[in-house]
Amino acid sequence: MLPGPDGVVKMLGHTLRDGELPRAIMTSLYRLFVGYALSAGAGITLGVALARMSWLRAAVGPLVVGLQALPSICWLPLALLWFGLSEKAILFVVVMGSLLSITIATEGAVRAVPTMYIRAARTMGSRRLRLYTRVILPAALPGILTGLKLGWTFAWRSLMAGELLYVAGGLGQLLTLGRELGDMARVMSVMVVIVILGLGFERLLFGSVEKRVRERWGYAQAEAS
Amino acid sequence: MIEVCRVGKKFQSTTRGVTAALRDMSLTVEDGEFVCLVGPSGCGKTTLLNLIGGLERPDDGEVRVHGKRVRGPGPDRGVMFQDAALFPWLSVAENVAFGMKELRLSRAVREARAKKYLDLVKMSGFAKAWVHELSGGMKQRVALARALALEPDILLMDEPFGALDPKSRDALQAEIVDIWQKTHKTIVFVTHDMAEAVRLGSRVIVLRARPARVACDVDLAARLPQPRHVDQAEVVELAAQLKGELDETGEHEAVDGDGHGDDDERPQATAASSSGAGRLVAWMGLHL
Repeated sequence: MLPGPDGVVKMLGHTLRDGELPRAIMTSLYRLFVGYALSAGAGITLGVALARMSWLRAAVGPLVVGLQALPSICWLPLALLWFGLSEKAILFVVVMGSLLSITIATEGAVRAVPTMYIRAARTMGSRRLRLYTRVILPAALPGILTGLKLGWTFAWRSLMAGELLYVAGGLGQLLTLGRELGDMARVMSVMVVIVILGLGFERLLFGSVEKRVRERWGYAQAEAS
Repeated sequence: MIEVCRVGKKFQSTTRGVTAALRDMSLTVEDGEFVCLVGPSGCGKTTLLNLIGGLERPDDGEVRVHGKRVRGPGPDRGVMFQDAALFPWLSVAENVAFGMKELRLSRAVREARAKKYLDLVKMSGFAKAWVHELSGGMKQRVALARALALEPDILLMDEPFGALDPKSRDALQAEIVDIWQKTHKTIVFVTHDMAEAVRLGSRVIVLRARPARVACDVDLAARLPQPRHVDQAEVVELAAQLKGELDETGEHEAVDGDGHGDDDERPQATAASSSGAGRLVAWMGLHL
């Protein structure tokens, strides 16, 4: 049996007013943004390093691909052993959920940067770090954005899974609470919030940027023809 | 002045082993010359250009520019490729200013020069356009402006008009000659199109393949004054004559070194007495 939409809306209003829902949203978003920022930074760095250093690729490449097959929530027991019942443990799960997909996408994008861009830049005096910041990273941006978008989705899912299992505030905990109270309207209202937040931020962060970048970089045309 | 002194360059390929692209190659380009390097594909002309540009390093010998040994690419040598290689994340004007930013020139200088060279290549109306909005010919014009904007003494061009339609190619050929005459830059221009070489160069160097050797070196400055045109009788005639020269000097593009540099001398002895496919068979027989 499902609760009617009116029951869900009523519960939404109730939890919003008594501050329970806003608190949970803020807790979850904070974790999401910190974890995602960490994995975006580390993922792009690691991806570029993997793409440009063949020895590193030989050493850790298979590990990266292998670990990506591991659902991020499987890191939770290890994280709890390492960090105890703390914020660090849940952040670790979020990072592990999104890091590798960003790494792999970045590596692919950087390796696909046409060598002619790099050669042209070298003839104009670009060297070392500036070759990365002015040519390689901008050239790889469309692929990196795809990875970032994927990473965002994974981070969101990992966070929810982590919060469901490990009770310490956040939207995931509200879901667990709803189940324990046997209150289906409560469960449904939290699910609605999770969907809205997930979709909303994805649109906000990537919607227009990705399209504009693909157009300007000439991918849109290549796909059309 | 560009001096190429007894330069050798080998390449490792997975299918063919080591191939000598250049061996014991020497040539000198004087300041202000417009030299066209022409030869069949795989004759090492692009390798030679990359060595001058510093994008590759020679295995033997050395390349000197203005008396100084080339150790890498530098803004004293502007390079244009067959692909314009413009950066799509930058506008046309930003592309032209790219190298000037690397040289840490001031914003005012960058903007003034970008405008000047976009004017020169007749692209001033497109300063704010994005790269994907341009046609192939327009992209090469911008690439030319980008190379010129660093004000190099030397311009190295690797089949820059090879992928263009005949009309754009014709227009750009006229313009590069015009720019050469105005700026007195030294230009080394690689092409496989003999007519293009004769139409453009003040000097044409015909290369023969693997390893590249100079088949002939013709000074055209006095013989054929600019402006020339590809359809002009003298140009057509001379191009045909040079092509003939290339065939006579033993063109065997299909025949490749099998990895032992020393063996490269042998086929030439065989080649002199046989022709075409027969020559190939004779040489392969020798190796089998």
